[in-house]
Amino acid sequence: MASGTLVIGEATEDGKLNPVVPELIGIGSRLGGRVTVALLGSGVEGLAREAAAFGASKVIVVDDAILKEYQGDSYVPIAERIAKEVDPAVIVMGQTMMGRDMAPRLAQRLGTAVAMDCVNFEMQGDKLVAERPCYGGSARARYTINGTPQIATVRAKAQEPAERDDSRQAEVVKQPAGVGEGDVRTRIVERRKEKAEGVRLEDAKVVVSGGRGLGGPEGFKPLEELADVLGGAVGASRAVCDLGWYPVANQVGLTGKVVTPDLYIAVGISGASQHMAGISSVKNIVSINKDADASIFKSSRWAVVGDWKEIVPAFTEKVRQLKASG
Amino acid sequence: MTVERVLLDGFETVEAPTPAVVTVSNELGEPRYPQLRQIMMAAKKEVKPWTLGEIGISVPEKRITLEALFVPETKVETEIIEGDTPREKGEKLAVRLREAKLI
Repeated sequence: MASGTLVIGEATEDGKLNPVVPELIGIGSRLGGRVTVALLGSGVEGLAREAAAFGASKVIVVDDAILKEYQGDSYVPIAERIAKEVDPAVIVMGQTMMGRDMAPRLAQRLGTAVAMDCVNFEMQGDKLVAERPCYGGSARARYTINGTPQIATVRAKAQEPAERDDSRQAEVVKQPAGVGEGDVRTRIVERRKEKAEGVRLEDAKVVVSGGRGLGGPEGFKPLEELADVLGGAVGASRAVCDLGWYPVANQVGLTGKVVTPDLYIAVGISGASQHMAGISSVKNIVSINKDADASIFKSSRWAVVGDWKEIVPAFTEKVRQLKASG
Repeated sequence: MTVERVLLDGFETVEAPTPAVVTVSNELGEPRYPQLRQIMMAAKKEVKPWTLGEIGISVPEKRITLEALFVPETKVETEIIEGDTPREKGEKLAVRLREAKLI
C-alpha cells in the first residue's frame, strides 16, 4: 500500500541544497507519513545530512558524475526506479528547470498524473488536493489525481520550509546511478550565463518596482538607489517597459517575471491584475501612490499615499540610518 | 538537431538526435503575421476534422480531476502610513518595516 511522501530533491548550481527542498519536506511532513528524500546529482552526498536535519526520515542518494547536469534521460529512469521502490502516496518536487521537465515524464512512466506549479496542498482521506494559480494568477484551481502516486510540482516560497534541527538523523542509502553515457540522448554542448547585474529579480529578497506614476525613465534612479540600500533588485510594470523607460528583462507580471521576495515595494504602480499576477505569492507588499484609490492598496500590507518623489528619498535615507545603527 | 534552450540565468546549447519533441518559448522570435491576401486565402482552404478513432487514439481514463475553480479571497489588512509631510511618511514607513523585521 502506497504511503508517505517522496521528495525529489536537488542541489543548486554551487552545490548547496536547493531552498525549495526544505519547503517540500515541510509539505510532506504536514501531509503525514514518512518523508523520503531522493537526492540526485554530482557531489550531493554531503547534502543528505541537511535533508535529515529538515525532517526526512530516509534519504536516498544517487551521486554520480553523469548527473552533474539535469538531463531527462539520466534523471527520469532513476527517479522512476526510486519511486517504484519507495512506493509513496505522493511525490513532490520543485517547479524548477528540473521539476518542469521531470514531473510529466515521471508521471507518464508511473501511469499517473501530475499537477504542476502548485502552491497549496491538503489531504482529503488518501486523496491529495493540490491547488494552483490559473488565469494569470487571478484564480485558483484545485485538482485531485486519479492514480498512484499523486505527483505535484511546487512553486518556490509558496510553502513554509520545514524547521531545521541538526540533531535529527535519517537513514541514508546510497544507490548507483545505473545509467550510462549511452542512455543520454541529448547532449549539452555549451552553457552561457547572462551577466546579471546585482541581485537577480527572481532571487531578490526585496524588490523595488516602478510604474507609470514615476513620470519618466529618470524616476528609476531613486528606486535603484533604494534597492541598492536594501540589497534588492529593481522591477518594473509592463506599462513602463512598453514605454521604454526600463528594460523588459525587469518586467514583473503576467508577461514578465513572477517574483517571490519577502518584501515588494511598488512605487507609482496602480496594480493592474496582470501586474499582480507576478506578485501573487508575495505576503508583504508596500505601495506608494499618490492616488488613494489605486487598486494596489487593497493587496498591500502597508500603504503610503503621497508624492513618491519626496517619500522615497526620505524612506531610503531612514533605511540607511537604521541599517547603520545595526 | 541543435537547439538553444532558455535557462533561468542564460542559455544552453543542446544536441539531440531526431525524431525529437521540442517545446518552444516566447523568445523564439516574432510571429509571422499573415497579409490580408493570405487571410482571405486561408478562409477558402479546406479544414478536414479527424475523429480520434480515425487516427487510432482512444481516450484514456481521466487521470486528473478539477475539483474547484475559484477566486481566492485576499485578506490583507492594510496599514496606512500617516504623516504630516511626505518626508515623515517615508521615514515612518522605514521604521514600521524595521519593526516588522523586513529590513
